[in-house]
Amino acid sequence: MGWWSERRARKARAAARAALEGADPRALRYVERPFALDPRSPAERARFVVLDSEATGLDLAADRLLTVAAVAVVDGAVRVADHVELTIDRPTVGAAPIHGLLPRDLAGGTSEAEAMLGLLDHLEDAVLVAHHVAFDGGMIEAALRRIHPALRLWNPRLDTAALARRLELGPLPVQPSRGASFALDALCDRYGVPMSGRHTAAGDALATACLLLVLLARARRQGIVTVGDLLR
Amino acid sequence: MSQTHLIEAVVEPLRRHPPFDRLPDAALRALAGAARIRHLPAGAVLFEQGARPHDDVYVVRKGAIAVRREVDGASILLDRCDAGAVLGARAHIAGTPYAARAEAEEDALIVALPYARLGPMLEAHPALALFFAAGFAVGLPRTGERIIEATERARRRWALGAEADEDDRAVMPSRSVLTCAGETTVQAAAQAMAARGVGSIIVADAEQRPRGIMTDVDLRARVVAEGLDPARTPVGDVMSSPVATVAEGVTAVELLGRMMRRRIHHFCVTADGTPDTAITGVISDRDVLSSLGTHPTSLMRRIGQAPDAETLRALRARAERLIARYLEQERAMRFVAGVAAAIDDAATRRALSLALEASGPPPVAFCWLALGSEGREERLLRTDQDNALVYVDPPPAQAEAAQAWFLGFGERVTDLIAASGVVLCPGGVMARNPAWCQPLSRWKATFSKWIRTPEPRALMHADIAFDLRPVEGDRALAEALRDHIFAELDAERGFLNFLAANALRNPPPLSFFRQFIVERSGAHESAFDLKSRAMMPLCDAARVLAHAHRLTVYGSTPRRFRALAAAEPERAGLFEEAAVAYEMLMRRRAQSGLAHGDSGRFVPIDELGTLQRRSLRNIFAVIDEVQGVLRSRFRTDFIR
Repeated sequence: MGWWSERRARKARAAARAALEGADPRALRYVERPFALDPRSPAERARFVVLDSEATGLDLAADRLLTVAAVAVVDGAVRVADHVELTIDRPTVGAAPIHGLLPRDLAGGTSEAEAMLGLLDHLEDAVLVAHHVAFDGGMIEAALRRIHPALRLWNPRLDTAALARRLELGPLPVQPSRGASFALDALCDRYGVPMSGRHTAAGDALATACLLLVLLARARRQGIVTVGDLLR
Repeated sequence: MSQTHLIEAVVEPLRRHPPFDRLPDAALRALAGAARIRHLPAGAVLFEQGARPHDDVYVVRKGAIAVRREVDGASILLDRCDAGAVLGARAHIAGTPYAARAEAEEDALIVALPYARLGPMLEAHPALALFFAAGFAVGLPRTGERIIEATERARRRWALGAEADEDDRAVMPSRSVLTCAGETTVQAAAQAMAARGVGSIIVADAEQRPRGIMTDVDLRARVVAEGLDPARTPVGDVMSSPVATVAEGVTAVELLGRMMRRRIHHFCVTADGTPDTAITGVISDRDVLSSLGTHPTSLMRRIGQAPDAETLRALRARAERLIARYLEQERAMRFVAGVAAAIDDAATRRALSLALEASGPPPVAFCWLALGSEGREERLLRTDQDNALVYVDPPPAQAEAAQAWFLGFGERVTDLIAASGVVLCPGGVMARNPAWCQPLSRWKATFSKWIRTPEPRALMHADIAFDLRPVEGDRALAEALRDHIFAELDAERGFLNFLAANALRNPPPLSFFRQFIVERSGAHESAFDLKSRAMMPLCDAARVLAHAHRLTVYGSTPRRFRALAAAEPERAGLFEEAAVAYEMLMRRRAQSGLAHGDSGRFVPIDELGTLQRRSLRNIFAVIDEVQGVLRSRFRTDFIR
């Protein structure tokens, strides 16, 4: 998480580009894309891709992604047309019961590699947003490594849970003592974001995107104005 | 298959509200797929009054948007919109700037739907066009009361589908079509238009096939503004072409969508519906709109020819269904109440003429008066009769005979009205009763007694009688009575104080309601008395103030408030709000009455949605202010 030095990123990408010689063109396109995100530009000017995923479990190393849904936030609005939903055809491990996924829900899915390359195409140079982005980002990164060991998720990441905590409790990591929950349901409830299609990746991605809109407005009022401020 | 869950999550809440509940899934998904969702912090403006329409039409997903209109420097709150409300569509459809300003009252999430997608759907889905047309198809301005309830529509059956039979009738084209050849000069064509008093001329070829149309607008924009010489320019050079053609038998609903979408004002009817056959008629936008609204006219005509009470009863039942449909279509309350009153009056007139046929000519001139809610034109549904009769003072020798004749006549008329479905007044306030069937001099004496010696019982009668309205006969009698009342009010100033104190006997239950709003789950067993808690206070106040101003308007409480707004410009905002509030209450009461098959007086509290609770609370605030005006203007404290 966080902003990283442009120089270091450039170096890592140059190494990846060399290592990825001959890989899938979509992976190359992703790696070769110049990152245009200026940390001094207004936060709402950035393109955000808000994502939610479901996986077979919570272990970044052992578990696998099942579905990924993502929708873009551009110019301060959720752009429904700019969305992607990926179902990964790998029903070998039982899905967590909370998601209520049956094997047949996953029929017609694509391979993990295919899904990830599609996702990279959609991501481009956007800020990747998720509720507890460490998990979603980590799962995606693990999947990318399985495609090619040099392939990384370059996009800057923003965690809506952490952003809400920062806006409510201040920039320093404070223990949220008196029970204020930062779960997606609780935050949506607190910030007046309606939920529909709850507990599907698509429904949660949409709710998270709407939550992001509210949080961005609140952040602006608290002086978090630029992309750099936001990702700090 | 994979790209649908997210769109479904956008579609699902939309589908809960009209008009989207009427769109087929595929259309709704196409619309939702192009949606953008925006967040508006409290105080942010969605659109400004007078601004050109944005690319999008907005649907409130969460939060509240206040719609305010700036009129002569005063800002009038037209509406508070919450989830499901559609904003900004009218400007697109009418092709005009926004008529009001929309601003977030609390943090809101807004779904923006591109009009470029929604617009074409107006044509493909007539229900959608009807939804947007319902408010202004009859040429009346859409008022706040219509918009405010738009968000509530989802909870109601939107009876346009199966019951739309009457809207599905063919529009009758006008058969006298003014045509000319393309070579005709603009001047000659304009002269022909002027001679016929029409605003358009169809340009046709030798086989009378339509080639184009020239309208007043074309004359202005393409001839005068361009500096063309009308004596030399052929019509063919400036006409609008091609002209929209339709086949015989086209229905109003079919035309409505095309009209609204493409802002077409005239359709040429041709033998096969294409421009390749001869013209057989013309349909104007006015024809389309009036055919959506003509049923009351044809009903009234049939009521006027009804041979007996049985037929009248059937026609009134039809009229009631029509009123019910208007209510569901959210037609403007002024229009609905106007139609209901017109039908009421037509039926009363028919009963009078049927009775006159039986009784023979009256000994002296008379005037039939509607009293109470019928006098105020506020009776949407058939409840009970309240009427009276005033006649010219006969020579003393004939007084008794005249009274006997009019009492017999009154009985005959009220029996006929009762047989047509409006039951006799249990309190006896009817022209068959000697107290309510008198010569002018005795009526004057009666009013003088009420005004000079007000006592509670008399006051109850006065409440009914002060809302008198002439329906049929010699209106001069009603006006003489009114002049007498005004003169007596000048002489006995205490009466209005008394009437004002009476009007304050029902203060708005502000505190009760605040508590009630907090306790969302409680109070489920109680019903709310809409009539005495909300409507009577406004109605009583309007009566007092209208008489204080000696206003000569007959009719409804909203009409009285609007006349008061004109009489007291410094309170225009409040009185305008009171008028709108009363119209909302009338609608609410009628809907509740229709839903439960009763008078609608009691509204079960758990049937009130959040918005209705909030709008009721706002209405109580208005009532409180109106009562404050009474309290400060009349010395009501001395009387109580």
